[in-house]
Amino acid sequence: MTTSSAAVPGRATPAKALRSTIGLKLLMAVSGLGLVGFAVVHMLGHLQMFGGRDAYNSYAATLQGLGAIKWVARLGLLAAVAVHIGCGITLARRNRQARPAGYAVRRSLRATSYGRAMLLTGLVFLAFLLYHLAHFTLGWVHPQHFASTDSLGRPDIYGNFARSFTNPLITAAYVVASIAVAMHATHATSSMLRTLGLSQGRTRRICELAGSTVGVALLSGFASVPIACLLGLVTP
Amino acid sequence: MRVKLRIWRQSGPTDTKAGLRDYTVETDEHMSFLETLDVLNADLIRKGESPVAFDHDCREGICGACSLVIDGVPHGPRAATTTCQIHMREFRDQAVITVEPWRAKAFPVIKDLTVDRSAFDRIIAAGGYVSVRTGAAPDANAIPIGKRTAERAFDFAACIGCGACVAACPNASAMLFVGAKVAQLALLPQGQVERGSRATRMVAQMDAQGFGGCSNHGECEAVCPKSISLDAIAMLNVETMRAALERA
Ligand code: SF4
Ligand code: FES
Repeated sequence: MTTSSAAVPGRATPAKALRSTIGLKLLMAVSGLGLVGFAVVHMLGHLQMFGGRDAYNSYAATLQGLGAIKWVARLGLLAAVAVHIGCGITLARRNRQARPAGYAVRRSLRATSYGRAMLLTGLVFLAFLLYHLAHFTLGWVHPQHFASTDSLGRPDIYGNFARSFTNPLITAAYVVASIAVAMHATHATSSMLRTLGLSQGRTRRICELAGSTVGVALLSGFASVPIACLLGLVTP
Repeated sequence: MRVKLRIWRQSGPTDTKAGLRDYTVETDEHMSFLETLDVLNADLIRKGESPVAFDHDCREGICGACSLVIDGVPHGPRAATTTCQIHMREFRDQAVITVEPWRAKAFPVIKDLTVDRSAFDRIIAAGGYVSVRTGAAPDANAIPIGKRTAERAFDFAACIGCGACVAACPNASAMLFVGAKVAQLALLPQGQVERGSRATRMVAQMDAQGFGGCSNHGECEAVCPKSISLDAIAMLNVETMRAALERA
């Protein structure tokens, strides 16, 4: 039998520990923590759309003016995404291989729909991320909404958003992505807190509540802006 | 009462004709589920057919031998209860009940409903022990341990090594089992000697056996007959980090 021939592992080293299932899960959790943190900050920034053109454009101009800090943040996020995807694929493959023959009948008692859909929501989000960057950061898609400036000569990001989201298809894409992010982050938050050892005993309920709170906050925060633009509550 | 059992039949580890077979059994609501299988087996033997192989030993919920997935749930319909403690009154008359073995790469089927769980023994051998001087039994209270700590350690020590956690996990992960032992020993003074390497060694063996990783779905905790808490997995993660940092 293949499994019984497994050798007793030799000396434990930190490098080995990092390549173990638990090491990979820790990398997954730490990179995920960074990504959820960014998502929350990004969402809060996004809400400034409700503050009007001037508030939003000056916020955007401030971010653009960060220079080196902006690039450090971008590279950090890129690294987190790369680590998260790399570890995610490795773990998903190990998990699949761990049960080659399945059950004829299987009833889940506890697993949630969003917990089971992590791979799917992760992939939906990745596809969306590329589209989102091409849309607002690079201006490759829908360029007709792009190149205008406001009365102070700043790039009119506010107008760009508001005009884009009058298109129901673009709004729909953003709402779908918001749902995917919210589902992913709900399981991710409570899951990472356990992986990091923080969700234990009395803190467990709080950590699980944190998951749903982050999920609901991200969904309402992210989806509200495109929907408000579509409904004409935020006008270009 | 009469039930129809759909049982996984497999003549050996490499049987290519393995599959579910239907059997009708006359049983009684006061019988245990395993006794119903005994009735079926007596009947099969009388007919000259091969009886259904299944694991059992104590039949009182303490040894961890019994291991059936009943209607898609390891250890069947009753929470915090082993297969051997399930009674037929849990089912309706005329019920169709599907019975399958634990499914995991690390638990290969030996025959019918029995699987090879020696992967668990190898994980324990890799670090699930404490080093003590041999000799006369030590005094019961020679090492004082606070009540709270003693109780937490005891809750983790309640694991009977049945493997239902692996069977229930969508990833066939053994982290509840491994976590229970690591947490139990990390809490006790006797466990401190090997603490720096125990988690790393047990996790390495767990990986070598081909178990998956934890996705924090909580299916293991829901089927565990001893209600081992997911806290075991949180503690396993902490102990692994701690061991790695100690080495670094
Ligand atoms: S943790 Fe629970 S389900 Fe897993 S082996 Fe121990 S007693 Fe069985
Ligand atoms: S036969 Fe011993 S626990 Fe079920």
